[in-house]
Amino acid sequence: METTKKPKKTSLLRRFRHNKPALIAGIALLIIFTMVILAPVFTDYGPAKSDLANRLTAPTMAPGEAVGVTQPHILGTDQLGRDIYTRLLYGGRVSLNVGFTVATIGGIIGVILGMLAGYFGGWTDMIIMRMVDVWASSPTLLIALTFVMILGPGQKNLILALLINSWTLFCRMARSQVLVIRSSAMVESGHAIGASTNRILYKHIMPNIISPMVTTYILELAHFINAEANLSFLGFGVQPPDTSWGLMIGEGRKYLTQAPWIVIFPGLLIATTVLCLNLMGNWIRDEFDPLAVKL
Amino acid sequence: MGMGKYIAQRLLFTLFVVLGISILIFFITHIVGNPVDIMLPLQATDVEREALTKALGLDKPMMEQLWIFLRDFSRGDFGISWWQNRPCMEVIMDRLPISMWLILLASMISVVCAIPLGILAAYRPGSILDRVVTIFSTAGICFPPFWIGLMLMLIFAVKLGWLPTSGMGTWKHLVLPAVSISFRPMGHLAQIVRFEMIQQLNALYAVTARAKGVTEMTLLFKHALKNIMTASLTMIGNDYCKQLGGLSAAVEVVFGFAGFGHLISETIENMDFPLLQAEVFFVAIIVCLINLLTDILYAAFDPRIRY
Amino acid sequence: MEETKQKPILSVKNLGTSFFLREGEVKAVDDVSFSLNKGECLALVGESGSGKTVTALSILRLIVWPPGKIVSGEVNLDGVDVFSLPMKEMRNVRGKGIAMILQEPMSSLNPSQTIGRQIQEAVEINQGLKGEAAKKAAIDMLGVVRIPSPEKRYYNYPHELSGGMKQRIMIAIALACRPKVLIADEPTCSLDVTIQAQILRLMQQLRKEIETTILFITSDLGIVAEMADRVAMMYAGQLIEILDVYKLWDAPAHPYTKGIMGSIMAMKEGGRLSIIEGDPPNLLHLPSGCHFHPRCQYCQDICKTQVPAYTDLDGDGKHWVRCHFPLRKDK
Repeated sequence: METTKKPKKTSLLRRFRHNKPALIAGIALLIIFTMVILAPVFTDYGPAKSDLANRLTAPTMAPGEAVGVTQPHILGTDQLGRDIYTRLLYGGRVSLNVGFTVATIGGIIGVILGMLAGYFGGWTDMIIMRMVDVWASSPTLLIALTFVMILGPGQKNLILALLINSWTLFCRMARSQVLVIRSSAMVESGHAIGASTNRILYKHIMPNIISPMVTTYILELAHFINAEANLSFLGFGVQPPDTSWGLMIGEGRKYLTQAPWIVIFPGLLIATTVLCLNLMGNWIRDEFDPLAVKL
Repeated sequence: MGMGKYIAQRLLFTLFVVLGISILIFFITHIVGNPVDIMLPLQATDVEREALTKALGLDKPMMEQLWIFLRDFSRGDFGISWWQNRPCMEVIMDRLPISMWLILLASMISVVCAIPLGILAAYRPGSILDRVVTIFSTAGICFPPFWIGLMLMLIFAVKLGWLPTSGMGTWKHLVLPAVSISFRPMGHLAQIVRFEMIQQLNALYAVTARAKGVTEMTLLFKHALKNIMTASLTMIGNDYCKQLGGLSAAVEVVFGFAGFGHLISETIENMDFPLLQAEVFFVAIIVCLINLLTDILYAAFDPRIRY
Repeated sequence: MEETKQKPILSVKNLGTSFFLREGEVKAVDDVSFSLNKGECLALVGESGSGKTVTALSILRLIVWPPGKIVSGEVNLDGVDVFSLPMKEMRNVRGKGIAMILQEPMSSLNPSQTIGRQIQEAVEINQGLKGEAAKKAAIDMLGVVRIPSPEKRYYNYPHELSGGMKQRIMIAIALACRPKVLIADEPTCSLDVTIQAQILRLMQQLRKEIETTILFITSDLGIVAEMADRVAMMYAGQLIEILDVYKLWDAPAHPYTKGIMGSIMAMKEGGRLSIIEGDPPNLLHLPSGCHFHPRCQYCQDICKTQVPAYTDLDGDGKHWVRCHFPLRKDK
C-alpha cells in the first residue's frame, strides 16, 4: 500500500487531464476568476460610465462610439448605455466576493463546531446538533431577510444575512467525518502514547476530513453565488450604481422585450460559474471516493 | 402504536421552535433596529417621535413588550400591517394560499419529471443516457430560477404568445411560474433518485431478487422504487419549505404573481415589521407541519419506521 | 467409474471474471473449471477474497458492470449454454435453473416487503402459480424451513425476524424456485454457533428430502466434512485442487491444501499450529507463476515463472490439482 502513495500525486494530475468535463470546468473557472479579478485589464470601459446616446445597443463587433474608446460593445449595452461585458466583469467581483466570503467564514465556523461536536460527543454534541436541527426546521431565509430589512441592503449586510445559513452543512459534514475517524485505531493509539487532544485533532483528524470538506466548500460556494444572485435580483444586495450579476438581471428585466441581452448574459455567466464549480466538486468527490470506478 | 405520542412530541417541538423563532425575530426587530426611526422621515420632530413610540408601546420595558408580543401572537393577533394598514392576518391570508398551490404544482412537476429521469440514469450508470440526465439535472440546479422564468417568459409569452406574461387569475398564469420554480427541485431530486437507485440496484437484496428470476423492470418498480421514497420525500418536503420561506419570491416578482414570496419581498421594501413577524411565524408553523407530515409518510414507505 | 461418465448437470469451463478498478484489473476468478453431477454436493472452499462468491455470481451472470465483467469461459447447465443466452432468457436460468442463498441474511431481503411476498414472488415466477395458490405455496415453504406459525409469519417484515430466521427465509426463497442446482454462499457464516448448527441440520434434512444438487461455498472445513461429497479449493481466484472429501484429510496434493489441513489437525491434537507463513496475496499485484509460491515451502524456480497446469493427478478424472510438484501420499 505504501508503494502506491508516491505516484499518486502525478497520477492525480493526469486523471484531471483525462477527465474532460472537470478539465473544461477548471479552465473555464480559471478564465472567469482571472478576468473578474483583473477586470480593468480586460476592458477599456468603466462599469458605471453611462453613454445615453448608445443605450440598449445590441451585441455588436462594430467599434464603440464613446469618446476615446474603440472597444466594441460585444455583449451590447444596457438602459443607460453602459457596456454589459464590462459590467459583467465588475459585477462578478461582488458576486464572487460574497460567495467566497460566506463560504469561507461559514465553513470555518461550521467545521469548528462540527469537529467539537464529533470529537467531544456527549453534551457538546447534543447542544450543537440540536442547534443544527432547529436551524434546519427554521425559515432561515426569512430570518436572513429580516436582517437585511433592519440593517438595510448592501454587500456587507448581505454577507451577514447569508452567513446565518452557511455553517450547518459544514457542521454536519465535519461531525460525521470526525465520528468515522474517531472510532478508528489511530486516535486510540494516539491516546495510548499520550498525545494531547490538540495534537490528535491537528495531526490525524484534520488531514482526513479535508477532501470531503473541499468538496463541500466548492459546492457551497456555488450555492452562495446563486443565493447572492437571488437576493441581489430582488434589490437586497449591492445598490446601484455598483452591480452584481443578480442585480444586472433585476435591473434589466424591465427591458426584456427590447434588449434581452441585458438579462441573458449575466444569467448565463452565473449558470456557467455555478455549473463549473459543481463539476469540480463532483469530480473531487468521486476522485477521493475509494469505491469510485474507472470508466 | 405510539403514533399519537409521536405526533404530540413533534407538535411540542414545533411549538418550541415557533416560540424560539418568534422571540428571535422580536429581538432582531426591537434591539437591532428602532422601528420609530424607520417609520418616520428624518426631519420628524422629537414630539412626533415620542408620540409614535408611545403608540407602538415601545416606551415600556423590553420584557413587558416581549410579553405583550407573545400574548398577542398566542391569541392569533398579529397586529396591524404598517404598510397596508389592515390586520397582518388578513394580508397574509390573501397571499399565502395561492403560493402554497403554486409551489405544490411546482413540486408535482419536479416529481413527475425527476423520478423517471433518475431511474433512467441509474439503470445504466455511465451510459450516454446517464450523462445526459446528469448534465440536465446539474443545469437545473445551476440556472437561477428567476432567470429561467425570464427566459420562459421571453419564449412562451412574448415570442410565441401561448401564455400570459404576468398576473394571475387563470391556470395559465400558474404554468410559467410553476415550471420556473420546479427546475431546482427537479435537478436535486433527479440526482437523489439516481444515487439512491444505484445503491438499491447494487444492494444484496437486489441480487437475491435477480437470483430468483425477477426481471429488471420488476426489480426497479416493485422493489427498489418504494425504498427510495423516503429520501425523495425528504428532499421534496425540504424544498417546499424553502420555496415557501422566500425562495420563490424572485420568480413571483418576475411574473407579477401576487403570492406569498412576492409579499415577503414587498414587506422588506416597505420595512413592515409587524407583517414580517407574522410571516416568519406562519412559515415556521408550516415548515414544522410539513416536516411532521413527511415523518408520518416515511412510515408508509418504510416498515422499519414505527413511532 | 460410472459416476465420471454421467453427464454433469452443471459444468463450468475456464471461467474468468475481472474487476476493472482504477488501480488496475483484478482477476477475481481466473480459469476456473469444475462440474457438478446430479444430486451431489460440491464444497467450494477458500479464504475470503479467493473468488468463491464471484464464481457463484458469475455462473448466474450477476456480476455488475461496471466494475465487474466475465471475461472468459462457459457455463453449461443441463445442456444449456448459459453465457450465450440473451438476457431475457436468463430468467429461466435464474431461479428455476440455479437458485442462490446469499451469505448475508441481514441485508439480502428487501426491507420494505413482507417475507411472505418475497417467497411468493419466487413461487409465482418459477412455479407458475398465481394468487391464493401461490400464497399457499409460500406459506408451505415457510413450514418446510421449520418456521413456526407460518400463516402469521407470512406478514412479517425482515426487520422483525432474527438472523437465523432470515436465513431460513433465504433458503425458503431459493427452494421455492425448485432449482436444478442450489448455490449456498456461506449460508451460516454471519450467524452465531447454535443457529449455525440449526441451519446446517436443516440444510442436510432438506438435501435428503428434495435431492437437489448443491454448490456449497464455505471457508469452514468442519462444514465441508458434514455436507460435501467433493471439495474444490480456491486460492487467489484460481481453483487449485479438486478432490473427494475423504481424500482431503487423507491425501491432499496441493501444498496449500496440505497446509490448511495441517493447521486443523494440529489444533485438534493440541499440537503447535502450523499456520501457512506469509499473507494472502494482493489480488492487484499477484505473484508471478504459481500464485502460492511465495508461501510455499516446496517452491522451486519453475514455480516463480510458470503458472502450473491444471492436471488430473490419478488419471481417473477425480482428483485435479494445479501444482508443478503435487504431493503424493507416499511421500
